[in-house]
Amino acid sequence: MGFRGLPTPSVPTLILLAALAPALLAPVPARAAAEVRVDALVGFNGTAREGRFTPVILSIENPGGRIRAQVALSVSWGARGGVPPGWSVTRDTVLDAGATRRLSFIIPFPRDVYTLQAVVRSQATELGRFQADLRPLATPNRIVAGISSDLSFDGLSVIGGSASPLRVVYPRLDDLPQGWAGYDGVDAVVVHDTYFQQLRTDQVDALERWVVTGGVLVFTGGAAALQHEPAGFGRLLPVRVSGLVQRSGLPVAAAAGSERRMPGRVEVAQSTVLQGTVLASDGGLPVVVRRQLGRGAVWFLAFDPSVPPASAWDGTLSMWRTILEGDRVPALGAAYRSLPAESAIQDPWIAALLDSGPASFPPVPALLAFVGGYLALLVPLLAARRQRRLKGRVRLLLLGALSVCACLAAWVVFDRLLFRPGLQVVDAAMVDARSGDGLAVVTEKVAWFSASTGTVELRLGSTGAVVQAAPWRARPDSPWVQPHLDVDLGASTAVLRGLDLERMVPRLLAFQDVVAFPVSVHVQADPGRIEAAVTNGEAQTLLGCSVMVSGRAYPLGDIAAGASLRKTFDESAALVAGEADRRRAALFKALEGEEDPAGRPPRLVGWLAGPVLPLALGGARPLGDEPGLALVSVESE
Amino acid sequence: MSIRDATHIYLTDARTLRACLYLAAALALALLVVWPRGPLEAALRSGQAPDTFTVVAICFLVSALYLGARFGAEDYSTDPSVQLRELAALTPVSILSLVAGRFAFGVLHTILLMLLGAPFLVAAMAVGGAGVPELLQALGLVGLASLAARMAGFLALAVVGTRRPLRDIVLTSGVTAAAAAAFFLSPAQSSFHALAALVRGHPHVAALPAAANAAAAALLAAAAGGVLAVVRVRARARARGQGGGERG
Repeated sequence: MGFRGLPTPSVPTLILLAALAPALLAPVPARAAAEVRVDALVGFNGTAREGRFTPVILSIENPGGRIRAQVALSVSWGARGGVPPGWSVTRDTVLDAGATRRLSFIIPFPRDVYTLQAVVRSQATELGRFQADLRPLATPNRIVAGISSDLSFDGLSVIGGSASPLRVVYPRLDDLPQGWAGYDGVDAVVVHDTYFQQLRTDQVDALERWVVTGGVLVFTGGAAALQHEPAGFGRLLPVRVSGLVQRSGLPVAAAAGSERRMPGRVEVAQSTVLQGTVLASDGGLPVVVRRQLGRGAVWFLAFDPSVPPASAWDGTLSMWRTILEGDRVPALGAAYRSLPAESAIQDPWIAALLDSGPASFPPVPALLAFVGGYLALLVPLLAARRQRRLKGRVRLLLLGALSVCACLAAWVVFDRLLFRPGLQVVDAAMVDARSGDGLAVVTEKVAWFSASTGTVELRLGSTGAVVQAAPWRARPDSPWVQPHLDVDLGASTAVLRGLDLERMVPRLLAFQDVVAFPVSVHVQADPGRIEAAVTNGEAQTLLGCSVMVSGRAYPLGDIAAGASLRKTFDESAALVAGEADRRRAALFKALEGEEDPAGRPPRLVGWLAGPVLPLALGGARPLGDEPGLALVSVESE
Repeated sequence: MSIRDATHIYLTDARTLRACLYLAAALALALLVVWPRGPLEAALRSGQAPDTFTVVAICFLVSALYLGARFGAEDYSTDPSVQLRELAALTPVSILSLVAGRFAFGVLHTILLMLLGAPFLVAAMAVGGAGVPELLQALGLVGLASLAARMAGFLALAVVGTRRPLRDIVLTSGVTAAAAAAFFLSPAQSSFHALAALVRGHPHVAALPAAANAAAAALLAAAAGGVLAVVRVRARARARGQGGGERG
């Protein structure tokens, strides 16, 4: 009996449907996991300086549909048993359908670097993987990055000679790092031309902040100089380029360390100086300009040193030697050095604060008082004479009540009042700035310890800082280990997870970042008279400030947020540089101990309550309830 | 002997109470000896964390094992073994209620001993790197070990009776041998190992020794019950024999 109005299926149709039934009724996956292709560009054109931080760009090509994925990048080094020391970072991202996503990372690149591995996962399913041996990419040589459409600066490699070899690399404009630390392995960046491409704001910011940490940025001239401002370098340029002129016999001698003028006719960028010092000029036309920016410098050469006659002139090499003089100090000093190295307790900054800290174990008299009090109450209950005997049940209740009260008392006295056993943190920082730059290099060290074991999590409200963990050992007889850092990278935060704690074994992390620091200082040191003008544009009060001139201190006191101060001192009113406060004195000695105070330019020295970088260690409280301490040093304009 | 009677005996008898005082004094002494001295910085520099909590906890364990065994053997009671064997042999009190009563009172008295020692462990907690979970685990572990020792004493009392030197030798060597065997042969079940590992980041290390101690306490109590049952059967058999002889 068929349904009226519906066609009756034929026997072959039914057989076919029966055959297909398992396939038709089988559960269909919502979406098969698509595979992605992962590739990585490490360093600059595949060259990375060992012992520095280096950029990595992951390219993830997603031929499938749009997916939300987690990218895990890890670098390992050393070849010791168990989990190798290293660094891992995870980041959530969205991979658009049919698109290639580029993700930038900055990784530590120690001397014994071993492998880099990138894994892309979605909902615990691995979608793609990339693995590379990093050893062939490592170089101990100095690196100069040339931003140029042709290989204009290969001749620079002869500057270093055999003593300090130098390698020139030419990164693509798109591959330039987005964070200042990406340039950590680079001594200098020479901008010739950008092939009419524009840099992104974050790339320009990264270059500026890297210069503040001690980098050298050189803009070359000639016709290509007209590209610099449109490319986005405007605020870094020490000059404003307005046109081109032809000049003969440029007087570059003083800046170049050469005896002779540059021969021949040269195309020179016509410009006006915005900031910096003119080191060579030709009839009012700036030819060599240098702008000090933080610890580094920005140079402008009005001519193109890569084309004749400058390229053939013997003074050009001398000029480059002058510009590229000295090896840039890496972020965090000798980052990722070999073991054993400074542990938290050996670090001079942390040791200074620990030595001068008030923290100690609860005193023995307090323990004696507690024990004596408890026993004094216990003895009458346990050694009562027969005639004064209490009933058993009453004695039981009294003993129970006494024990509970004694437990509470012991907890309050020893766990809360005299010694708090939780996580304790010691924080020391150095804020190094130059007036007028508006930026400061902050190096911050955070050490923590606890009387108990456990794990902690450190949250950093920035993704641009570099971090290094000091080696540690669980017990005095244990071997030193370089910890493996796990970083969870968000849009604007980085979380360091699973930092394990051993009892009373301090751990240390060092951070470095470049932050906005709008403090201006002008010190006029005349014979017999010192005049200082300070404006604190920071949101915090600068504590215990003084002006330092030739190793002598002229006290200014606290300078409130947003306040300006102008003061004139008689030269004889100086104090010997030092601090009455024990902690400040100890940290000042640790930070300034190796510096020659007399050889430094006039500057403002003050203090900030730390942490300066946006750091938070879960559940920690400062050692001895004293906040972190940051020494501020602002060099006068 | 009911729990009420036992409470009365154990909380009014001078010798029993004095034993508790000795326990408190021993723990106080241990705490004073191992209390860390000086600034925190020195401890950080040496990398040596104070083992105050561990030492006090182990001292507590040793004391509790000793006292538990002595209490179980009713060394502090007046003429206990005669009472126990008389109770088993001559009265109609069931063996089960006899053993269960001793066990229940043993638990209560052990809790009291733990309460007496707890303030010393609490005082050692902060500098010793322990928290409340470690404290509770240590107390539980010491308590269960003490209960097991108490049941070993009870068994020795049931087996050996009043022969003091022999019973003391059997009891002391038995408890020491059991603790040593666990320490060397099966560290995972050793209360000493567990107490030492408690503050070193092994949060569940006390579970196995605690279970082993609880099982040992139950087994020893059952064994004591079995011995008392044999005592009763033999006493009844002897009584029947004597009755038959008189009739004959």
